[in-house]
Amino acid sequence: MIKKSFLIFCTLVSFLILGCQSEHIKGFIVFGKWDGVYVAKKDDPFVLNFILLSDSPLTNVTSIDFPEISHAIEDMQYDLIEGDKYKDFQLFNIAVNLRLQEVSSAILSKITLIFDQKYKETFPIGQIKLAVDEKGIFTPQNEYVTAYPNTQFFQAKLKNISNHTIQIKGVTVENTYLQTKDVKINDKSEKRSVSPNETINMYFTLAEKAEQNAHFYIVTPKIEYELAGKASSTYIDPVFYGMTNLTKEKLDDILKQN
Amino acid sequence: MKNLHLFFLFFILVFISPISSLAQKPQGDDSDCVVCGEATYKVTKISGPSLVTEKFQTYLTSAWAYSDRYVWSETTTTTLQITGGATFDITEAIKNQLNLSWSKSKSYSVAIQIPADKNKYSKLGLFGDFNKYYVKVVKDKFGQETTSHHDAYEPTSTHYLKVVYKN
Repeated sequence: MIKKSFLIFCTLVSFLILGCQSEHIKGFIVFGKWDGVYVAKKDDPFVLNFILLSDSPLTNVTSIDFPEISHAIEDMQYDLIEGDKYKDFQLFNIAVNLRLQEVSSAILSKITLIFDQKYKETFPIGQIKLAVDEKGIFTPQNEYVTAYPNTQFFQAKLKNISNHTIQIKGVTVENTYLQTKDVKINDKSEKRSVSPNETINMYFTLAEKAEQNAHFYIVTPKIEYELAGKASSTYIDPVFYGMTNLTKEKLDDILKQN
Repeated sequence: MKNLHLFFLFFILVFISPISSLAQKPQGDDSDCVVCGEATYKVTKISGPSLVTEKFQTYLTSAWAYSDRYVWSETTTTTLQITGGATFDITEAIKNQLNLSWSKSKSYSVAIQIPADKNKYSKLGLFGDFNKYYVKVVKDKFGQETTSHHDAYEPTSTHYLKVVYKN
């Protein structure tokens, strides 16, 4: 009887110690939530940023993984970048460069951190849709804003690099919480045709679809067009919103969502 | 002993006095003045503020490069800009008398990576929204007035990172 009790006691103590150890290794970590659409092009790596707050220095993070696409990752490099301190927490960015074996549509909603090559913990990161596109039809001219502070608007000069005159039918975004409003091409709202090598000025504002929102956005505008009577679409380069504007309110909101 | 005192006085008159007057001589544009002193500035706002969006501030990378991404690791800071060949004194006068902000930097920062088209020459640039004022500055130096006009761009907290392509 004593032997049995001793065994139960030892087991309980072991569980307690292991539990505490695991908690000690992980500490408190919370990621900012994304609402993003990123277009995968063959042979082009993805550039993604995952901003998080942690109460520990994360020196024991030995690798990372994306469980939803881990089978398709051909090459992955990441940098764990330390930023400013906020309250009792340290700001970090896990900046990731991903190259996939095959380009296919997927959704990233989780990131796994591996501590000391042993312990894994998976965290929600909102949602980033990976879309597929062949070579784009429009390319940025002169300057291209890649980081806007807030979701106020999008503006770009774009050149038609195809050999065809295309009829633009509309411009949309595929984000969960955002939609385009007041789309203008060369200051006009009507549909228009764009000749090869012609440069257009595209402008639109962004409106939130619901009360819910994300901390950071990747907006990849989708141009719907018609070529020789056939409807098609193409994406233009991704744009980040909200990452260069880490206010106290935003960081408090990230902490609150945990 | 009396001779020694006389020599000491002579030494002070000949050597120390010119050195001390040289040390007091103002530098810069006052070096040729007959009666030296500080100029005063009167700044009058003629128009503004009007919002100027996405105004260029600086390049964050030095050379043109075929790069597939940029790492932006500095605290974004935009600063007060005054056009029309404003001197440091004029800039200070405009800033203080119109109560303008010298700079606007972000509250919290962590480095981020930004994608770029690797097939084109590019640089990373910092742009910002500014409040623009058109101002008149009257410099008064002992009754002699000089008037100049300037555009003053006061920084706001709205910053943009742009990949600038060499087409």
